[in-house]
Amino acid sequence: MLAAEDVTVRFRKGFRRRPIVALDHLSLRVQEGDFLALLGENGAGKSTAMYCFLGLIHPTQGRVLLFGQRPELGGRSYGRIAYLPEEPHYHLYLTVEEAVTYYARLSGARVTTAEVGSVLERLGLAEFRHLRLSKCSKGMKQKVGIAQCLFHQPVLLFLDEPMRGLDPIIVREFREILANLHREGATIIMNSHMLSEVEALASRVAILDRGRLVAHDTLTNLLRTEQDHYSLELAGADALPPYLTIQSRNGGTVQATMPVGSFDDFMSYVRERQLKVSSCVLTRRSLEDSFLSVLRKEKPDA
Amino acid sequence: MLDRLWVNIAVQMKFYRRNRLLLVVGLLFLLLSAISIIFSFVFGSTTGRFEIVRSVLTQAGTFAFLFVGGLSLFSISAHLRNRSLKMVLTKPCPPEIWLGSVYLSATLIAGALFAVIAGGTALLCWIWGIPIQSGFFLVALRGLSGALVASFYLGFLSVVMHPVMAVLLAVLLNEGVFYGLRFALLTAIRTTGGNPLLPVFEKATYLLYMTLPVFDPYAEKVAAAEASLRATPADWRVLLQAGGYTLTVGALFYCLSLFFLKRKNLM
Repeated sequence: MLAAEDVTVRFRKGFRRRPIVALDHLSLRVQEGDFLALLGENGAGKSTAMYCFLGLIHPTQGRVLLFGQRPELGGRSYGRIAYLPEEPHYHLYLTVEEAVTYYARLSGARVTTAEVGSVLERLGLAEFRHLRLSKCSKGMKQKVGIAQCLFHQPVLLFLDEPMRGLDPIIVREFREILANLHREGATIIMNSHMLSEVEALASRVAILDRGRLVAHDTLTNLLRTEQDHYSLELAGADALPPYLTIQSRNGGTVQATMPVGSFDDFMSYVRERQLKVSSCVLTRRSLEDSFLSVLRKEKPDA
Repeated sequence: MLDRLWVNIAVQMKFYRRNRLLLVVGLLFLLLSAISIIFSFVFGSTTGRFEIVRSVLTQAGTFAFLFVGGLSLFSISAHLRNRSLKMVLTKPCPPEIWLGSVYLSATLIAGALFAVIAGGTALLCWIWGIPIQSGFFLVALRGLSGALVASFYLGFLSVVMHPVMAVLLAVLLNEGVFYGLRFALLTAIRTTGGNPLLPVFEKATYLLYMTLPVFDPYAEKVAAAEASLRATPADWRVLLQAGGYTLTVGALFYCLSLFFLKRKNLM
């Protein structure tokens, strides 16, 4: 569905035209049905990568294929795409209703005022429908961006920091919308700093550092779930089963860890011996841990 | 595609209508015109009134030329600078359509403005009992043609450079400047003759003079008609030629704008 082959983007910035490598030989493939999250620090090249995928900027080297073709701005294939930009760079002179209708009509959707009204109602924008975007808060503009993504049943969504500036209720609703779209077969590419959202939604994760792709794997592999374990505290045990790794002993109380897969055996063991387990906590490696460990590998001095 | 073109034109019209700067310029012009007309109503004689009508026509034409010339520049640079263009071009709406809507909306406004100017002067003539001359319409249509050339040229410049630079370039380095410069260089070559660089400069200025668009094409051919406001069939033929020139220049700058817009990084 989308392929970036050895994509490099170089810019010249500032008065002295200082060269900047925004993307450094990025190669990435997105298959149909993927939910890819692009992660990285600020300035890692996530948005630049998205602009490249969308054809908004031209790679200095390499190529991008969108639906098997080089992205041609405004082409027919864009009818199957929805794009939610990071910054709400919309037509600020339009009202909320006008902007949503305009973007929907450009996408090819034949929308009625009632349909627009219903989407605005759903996103809590109905009372602001006649307010110009220049007067709207960042969160409201973000909702306008979300609204315009929902009209033409896109098969490929590009979401650049979609949750930024949204209130928790809308975050939850938007998360459900995205999960539904993904379940129905839509492919989603999302940039985000909200790792909890990524963990809840994404199926694949790509981590960028200074324009380079430093990790690209499924979320499961990246989280390394085999490292998940239970931390537990039990009293009165004498002979401990081999799958328990003792961390400390304090009189008759033992603090130990145990692999997730041994949970059933441990329950039988506890029941047989009538032991008292005072705590049993599942310790999971979070996406944040994986993200930080990948970045630490890249920047040991950081 | 036609539907998208109309949608974009409607949005462009909203942009112009809701732009405070354009509104202030428009109101200022209306105020100045109204003062000049009221003044002539009170103090003018019948012969003087014909001159006033001509002056109103010229003033309004100049204003409309500047106003229309700035419309495309204003719209393109505003949309590029506030980055809203990426919301349009990431939809099945190619740059051809969007750019076309910018130039078409400016053309529609120009048409309406010059129609109002021609109609307004005709109305003044009718009120004051002055015979309505076909020259009024010739002047208005020539004004429209020039304004459209300016609109397409400034629109193109705003795609490739900062709008302030575009205005400076159009004002300071226009064909009139190079015409004068070439004339001065030719005189210098004739009088001094010795400097070998002068012919090179002369050729360069001639090239620039020929390359830059003319905002008032075939002006010398209709100078008499513009002075007397009486148009002959030959003047209308010149107007047709000017129309052809406008269409050619418009198409050229549309294609150039498109070429550079497509190569721009829209971040």
